[in-house]
Amino acid sequence: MTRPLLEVDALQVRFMTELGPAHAVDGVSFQLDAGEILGLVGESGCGKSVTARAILRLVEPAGAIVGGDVRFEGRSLLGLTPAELRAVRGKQIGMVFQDPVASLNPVLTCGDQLREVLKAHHTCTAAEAQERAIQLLRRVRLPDPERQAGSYPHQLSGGMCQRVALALALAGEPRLLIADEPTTALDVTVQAQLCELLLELQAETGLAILLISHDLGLVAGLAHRVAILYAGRIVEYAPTARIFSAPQHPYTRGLLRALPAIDAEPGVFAAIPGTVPHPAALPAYCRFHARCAERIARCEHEDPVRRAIGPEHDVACHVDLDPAPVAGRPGGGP
Amino acid sequence: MSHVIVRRLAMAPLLVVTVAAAVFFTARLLPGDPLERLVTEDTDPDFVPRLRRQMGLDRPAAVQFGMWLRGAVQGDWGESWISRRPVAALVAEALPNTLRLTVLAFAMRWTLAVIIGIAAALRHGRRSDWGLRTATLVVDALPAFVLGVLLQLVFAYGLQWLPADGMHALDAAGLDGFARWRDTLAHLCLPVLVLGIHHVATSARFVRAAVLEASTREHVLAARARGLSDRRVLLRHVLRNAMGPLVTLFALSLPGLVGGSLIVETLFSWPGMGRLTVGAAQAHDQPVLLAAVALVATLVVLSNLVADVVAAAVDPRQRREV
Amino acid sequence: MTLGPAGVRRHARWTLRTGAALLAVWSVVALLAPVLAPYDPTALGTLGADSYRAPGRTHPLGTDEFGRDVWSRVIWGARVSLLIGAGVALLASTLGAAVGLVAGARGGKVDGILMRAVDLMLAIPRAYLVLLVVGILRPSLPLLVIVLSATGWMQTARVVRAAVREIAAGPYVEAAHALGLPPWRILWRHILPNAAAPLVVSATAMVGQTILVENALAFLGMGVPVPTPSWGAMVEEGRKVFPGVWWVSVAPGVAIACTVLLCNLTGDALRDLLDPRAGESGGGA
Repeated sequence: MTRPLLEVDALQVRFMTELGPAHAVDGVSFQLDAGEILGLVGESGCGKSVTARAILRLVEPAGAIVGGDVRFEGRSLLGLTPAELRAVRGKQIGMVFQDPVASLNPVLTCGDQLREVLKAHHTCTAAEAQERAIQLLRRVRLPDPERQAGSYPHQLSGGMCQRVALALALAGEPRLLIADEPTTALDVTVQAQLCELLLELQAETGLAILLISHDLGLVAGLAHRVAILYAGRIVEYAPTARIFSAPQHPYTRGLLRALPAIDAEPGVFAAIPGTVPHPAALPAYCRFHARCAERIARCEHEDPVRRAIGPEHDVACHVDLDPAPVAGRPGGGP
Repeated sequence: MSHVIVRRLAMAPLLVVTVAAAVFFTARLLPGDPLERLVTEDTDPDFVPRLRRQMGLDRPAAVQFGMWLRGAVQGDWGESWISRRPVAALVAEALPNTLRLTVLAFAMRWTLAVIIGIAAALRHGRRSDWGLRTATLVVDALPAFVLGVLLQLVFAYGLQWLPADGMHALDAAGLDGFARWRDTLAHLCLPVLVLGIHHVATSARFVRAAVLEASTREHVLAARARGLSDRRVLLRHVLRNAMGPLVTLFALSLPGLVGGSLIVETLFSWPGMGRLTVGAAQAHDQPVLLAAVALVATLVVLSNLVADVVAAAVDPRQRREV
Repeated sequence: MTLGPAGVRRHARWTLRTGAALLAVWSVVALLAPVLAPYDPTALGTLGADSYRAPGRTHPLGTDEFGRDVWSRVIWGARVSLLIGAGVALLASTLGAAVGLVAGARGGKVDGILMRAVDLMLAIPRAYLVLLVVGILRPSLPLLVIVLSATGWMQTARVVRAAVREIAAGPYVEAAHALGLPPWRILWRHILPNAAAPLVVSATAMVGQTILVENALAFLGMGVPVPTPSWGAMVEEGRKVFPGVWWVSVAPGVAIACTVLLCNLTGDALRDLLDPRAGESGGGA
């Protein structure tokens, strides 16, 4: 078996907050193989964006990586010098962000920004860079690429900006793309188009994608495997089909139940009660305890450790649940 | 966008007249008779009424304004009541001296402010940043004349490194070439220093805020994620975006070029517009006072206009909103 | 060591308490100048013998040209400056608030005209305008307060107008309107209390600003008339005898700097607590 492309190993990221030091990411581990799409799912505040940024060490100086390791192609990213890190960013690992318009420099044209990144990663003349830039725009299915290269970000729609951002992320021909909520800020139809684009790109180039989202439906359509994040920890980790057919963790079940089903009673929402605890005020026992419908006595004393309950299926929970199907699962799969 | 500029510039003459009117009517409508100051014990009783008629002070204020304005446009700004020299000549002597001082001080202030501001923004959160903020508060509290007096005390009277006041040494006419140049420079030192650093702290604070705001935007993070070098990110992504607010700030401080040197000129006996105005106020010399204030006010308002236009031109996002 | 928003608030609270306390103490001392000053500030000593005595036991800050005790004059000067500062802040804030309220609440043409006037007045340099008036009339304490107020209300008007517009567009004012409350009542009970925070911040900042301007005028000889002690005038007088006799200028100079610094610190802390948006980023030059 070949080595995984990306390994995140017990990663811990600490921030200083009003209430003191907080571990926004507290021992997160997962792997990504070449060509695979992994979905990282969780509510706001669970640490998924921080994890994404920590991989490229973009959380500094506000946050500090205080534990664990991140390895890309076997090499630890945490020990790299700034120059080596820069060679990884964009060239080995690319990243797109949630707000497409905000992730582009407003005072430069799209073409300017593309040429800049192209020249940073490849040696080419200005003319070559221009040519490549247009090719990239074509690859992300941006209509009329020659003209759009001369446009400013504020002249483009959200969906188009995200395509440009994608082009920028892929300019260095990376092997891994980290997509941090790439469709959250977009309309539903545009979301669908972007998902299609991501799948196409993955098929064309064998790109591995770390897809971060709070949208289970999106992840169902794209990812091979899913990791569910809660309060800085992974609580369930399994192939997509199993997550939807046989979720084990009460939180996963709650998330699936909370998805509105087309045949459900109108006006009835099965929300998970309570809110995510503040990262600086986490209990020493199970973090989901306060909101959990399946809790037992042990949950209030001991923090569950992640364990395998099946082939490629990990869960961090004390309770052994019936692997029964849950109502309201979305259609579709990878 | 160009028609925004044209529209603004077209307003300029109207603005000038409005400002001149505001100043003029403020002066004329104040209670009291300005001429009575000129009366001494042995003044001819007919002198004042004659002077009043001569100067048109017995006409309605609006008419007076018209007369004054017409004269002003033609270059006749009246005569000083004290020295009897034409006001226009006094101003023509004073204005370039003021500009010499303020332009240098301006250049000094902004160069320092940009360097300090960027340095502080890059060291955001660390102790040196906090140090700058505190220094700002302290220096801001020091009025120009206190700072000037202190510097005068130390460098001019105490150490005697620099001359205390004036624009040239008394025997400057006899000097030539390098010695003359050095004399001018020496006299410029203290006043430029006081004017220059007086608002550096505030300007630096604004530069820091602008750079900081630009550096926390998402596209800067994205640029780093794309593997661009720190220097490139700073120059093309942070500073380029901070330029807009910075240029606006810079333009907004332009009015100070003309109107900001009152105290310093008085302190260092620098023969500029400020000292002219103060002298006229102290001596109650109305024609000079009126002309000086009107001129300075007009120039300031015009430079505000320029500032607005520059601000609108700088940000490409604003170009769209015409 | 990065100060998060919570840290800034804690820091601001500490600064506010210390600044306000020191300012209060200084204000009390200043107000009680007639009682606390060891010497009469206007009492002329024997020329020659008492003039320019160096700081020592009998005169902690020395004497000036006329043998007057500098320390007493400094305290009296504090009285004058703080009174003028507070007076102008009060007057100008009231005027500015009134204009801002009307402009913000009425909107339309009234707003347009008022704000144009504000822009115009802001564009004309304050010092020159004040000199114009004081140069034509005779300087006096009431005149100074009036002129400084008349040239200092504009920023307050802007700030209050902005606050009023922000709130008036809000839903609960619309609701009050829909309930049939008369406009003045809406203004008084709903809009005004919310504009209070930026108003207070603006007024506090004005005290320090006014003290600076007023003393600058005094320095130019256009401030409060002799014999009332004034820091600015004292600085000017002391220049004659530089550098040997330095205390006559330096003492009031330091007093100005410290007082203004206290006002600014307190004002900044107050702003950080009440209206944090008005702080660091951007703002007028």
